[in-house]
Amino acid sequence: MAATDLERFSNAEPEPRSLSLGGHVGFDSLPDQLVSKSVTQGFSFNILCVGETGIGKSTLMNTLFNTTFETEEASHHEECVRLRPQTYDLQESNVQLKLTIVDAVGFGDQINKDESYRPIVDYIDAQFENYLQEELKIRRSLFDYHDTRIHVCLYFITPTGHSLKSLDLVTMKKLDSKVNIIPIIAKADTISKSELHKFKIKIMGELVSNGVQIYQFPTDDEAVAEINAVMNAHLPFAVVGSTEEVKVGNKLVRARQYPWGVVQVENENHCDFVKLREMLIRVNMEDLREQTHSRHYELYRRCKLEEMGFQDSDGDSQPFSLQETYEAKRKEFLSELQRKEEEMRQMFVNKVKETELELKEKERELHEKFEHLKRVHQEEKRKVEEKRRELEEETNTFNRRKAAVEALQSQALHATSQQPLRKDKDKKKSDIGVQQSGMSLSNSKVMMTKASVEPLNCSSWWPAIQCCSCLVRDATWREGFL
Amino acid sequence: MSTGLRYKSKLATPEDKQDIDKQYVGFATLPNQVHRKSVKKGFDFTLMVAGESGLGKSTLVHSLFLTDLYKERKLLSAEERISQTVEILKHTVDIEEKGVKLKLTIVDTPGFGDAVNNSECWKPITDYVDQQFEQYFRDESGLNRKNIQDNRVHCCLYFISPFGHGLRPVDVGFMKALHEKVNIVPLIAKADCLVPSEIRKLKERIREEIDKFGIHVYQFPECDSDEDEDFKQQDRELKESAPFAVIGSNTVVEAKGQRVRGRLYPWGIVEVENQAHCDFVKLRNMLIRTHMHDLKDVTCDVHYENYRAHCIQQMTSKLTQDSRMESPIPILPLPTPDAETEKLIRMKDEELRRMQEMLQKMKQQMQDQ
Repeated sequence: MAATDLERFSNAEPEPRSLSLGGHVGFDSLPDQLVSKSVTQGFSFNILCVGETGIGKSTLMNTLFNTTFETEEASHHEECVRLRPQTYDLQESNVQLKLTIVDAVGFGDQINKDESYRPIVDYIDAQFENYLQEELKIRRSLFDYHDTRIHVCLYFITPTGHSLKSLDLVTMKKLDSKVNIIPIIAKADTISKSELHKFKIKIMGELVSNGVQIYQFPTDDEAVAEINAVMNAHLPFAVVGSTEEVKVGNKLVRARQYPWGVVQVENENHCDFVKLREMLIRVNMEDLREQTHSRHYELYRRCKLEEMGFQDSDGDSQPFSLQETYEAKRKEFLSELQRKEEEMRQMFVNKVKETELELKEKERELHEKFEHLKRVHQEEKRKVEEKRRELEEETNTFNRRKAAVEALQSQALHATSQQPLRKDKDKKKSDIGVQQSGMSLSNSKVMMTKASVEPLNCSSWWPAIQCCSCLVRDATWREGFL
Repeated sequence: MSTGLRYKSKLATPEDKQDIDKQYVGFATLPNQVHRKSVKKGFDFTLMVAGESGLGKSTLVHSLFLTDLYKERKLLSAEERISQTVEILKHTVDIEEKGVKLKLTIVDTPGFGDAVNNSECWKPITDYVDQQFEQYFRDESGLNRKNIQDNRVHCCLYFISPFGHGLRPVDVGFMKALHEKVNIVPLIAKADCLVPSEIRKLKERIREEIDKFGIHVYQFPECDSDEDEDFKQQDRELKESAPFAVIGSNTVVEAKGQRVRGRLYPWGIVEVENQAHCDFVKLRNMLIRTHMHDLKDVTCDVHYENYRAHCIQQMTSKLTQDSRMESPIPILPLPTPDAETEKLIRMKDEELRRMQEMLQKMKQQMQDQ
């Protein structure tokens, strides 16, 4: 009996019947309970501001929330786009709001803006990732978790009056599937009414023709459907921000004072600031949060898990359990790691062997070279030795000849000295003359022998010259020759 | 405030005439002769406008010269501009005022700074300016110099965006690439989005950054010490309000019973020619009424001469390099000689030297032994 009952419950799910109540039960206070719970919890809201440096992002935030968030002026010369999140705690009539404003610093300043969108997309993904990690934890505390996912992206368009810039188009295309985009025309006090109308049409036309999905205010809730529909037609909002107060009439209003007039921020004729505030904060804040969670976050989660290999159902359409898939994945991953380790070790060992072989080769070569050089050196040495011996021989022969010549000379001297005395009576000249002639003969003989025997060798030629020169200097030789 | 008034005050007054009559030579009429001749010849002026799209360049040109130069203009959509290259467009008009003819050429640079990747987007512009210089250089060095067409750019109005805090990297890059070739006059465009205190701050910031990055913008010439006080005062004001914050408009609106050129807003009317609203009048006076000729002079005397000297230097250095190759002396600069052959020659020289040294050493060794 119980089994059949169970069957009935599990298989057939009949339509729930609607009944009418007899009296007041009291569960109509459920929304109030929900509200009081969320009020005590507090809300968190994250805004991302994307726009050129100096376009008025910080001023607009200050104007929207009617306070001064202290942000320093950014410079135009940042190397790349970086995101600067700042969190503030605000309170208004006992509702707590944790507001995070993320600024894209340096956007649109670089000369090459190809990669400008990437840090923004990475940041958004990182916030989704953090939330996903928290969700997948075993012990998780989602109610306590500070949700940092971006709920809305305010894209600031430069008021050129012509159309969107190419950078705007490229960036919005990359962001439209990850975050709710609300485009706004910044510094709208530089466009006149007619130009503004044309500008808005041009922008929306370009967005539609390029398939960019911007956030549409929801029209399914009857309470706000009408106003939302009207506002949808006014997109993108042309805003002017100001924190300075100017006296208009007899009131102090937030405005900008020009020499030709005063632009009032909260005057609907002057700009769409009031519309933006209504839509962003007063009416649709909760919807923005919900859209982020149910649409953008779910898309991210699905893509991420599919990437990791999880599927909702396999070929037989049997639902997989997350647990099983996870286990299988882990085993795969570990075995993959091990295989890689083995490979690396193998490679390492091979490399070591190779290097060893190479080194051995090199050593052998070096050895050979050394041997060869040694042999060459020996050769050279031998040659030098030979040359030295030759040189010695030559010097010896030269010395012998010199000795011989000297002997001859001394002989000649003896001969002349034995001549008769009358030669002595003669003047020195005649003596010298005969001596000279004798000497000259012998000397010339010497010179001739010298000239014939001595080869014109470098080493012995200089001494030969020296002998000649001293002979030349000697008067006897000169006389004789003359 | 025309130049005519200035020099007339120096002519002889009737009281002095009796004395001067006796010594009157008559060359005091030279300025009049110059005036006559120049009116007959007519003037020409080339103005370049550069800056990102949507900053009001065409509107300003319209307001300055009161002629619509851009009758049919096709504006590209954002998608088409993602990888747009810079074009150079020339519009020439002949306008006449009180018998003085002016041939005005406006050089437009559509596409500047529009693409996502703007690296070297000023290259087509520098190429154009160099081209004009080169053409003039060739004409000047030619045989028949009667009808030289002067297409050199005399002035470049550079539009700086008022939505930022100062100069952007693309502004700095452009100005540094062109400041030695052309007179740059920086302007703050669409100044109707700035209150007076913001304008002052922005001007100061831009002046600081121009100094910091070493950009040489067009400097107004110093006025002589013997000019009258009024003129000196005006000159001082002019110098202090650079860069000019301008607003342009091509519509005429009704304000206080008068028809003025301006922009109509729900909160007021901006008058383009009102000095308290913007510096348009100062720009117009400077550009057209007082400094037009000075801009031309600086272009001829400074930028063109620099270009010419640089060109000639390059040619002579190439000639000395080419003397080894024994080519005939060219009139025009040669294409760069082969870097490869140069390197080879140098290497061979090195080798020869090394071998000579080695031979010397060996000889020494032999001698020592």
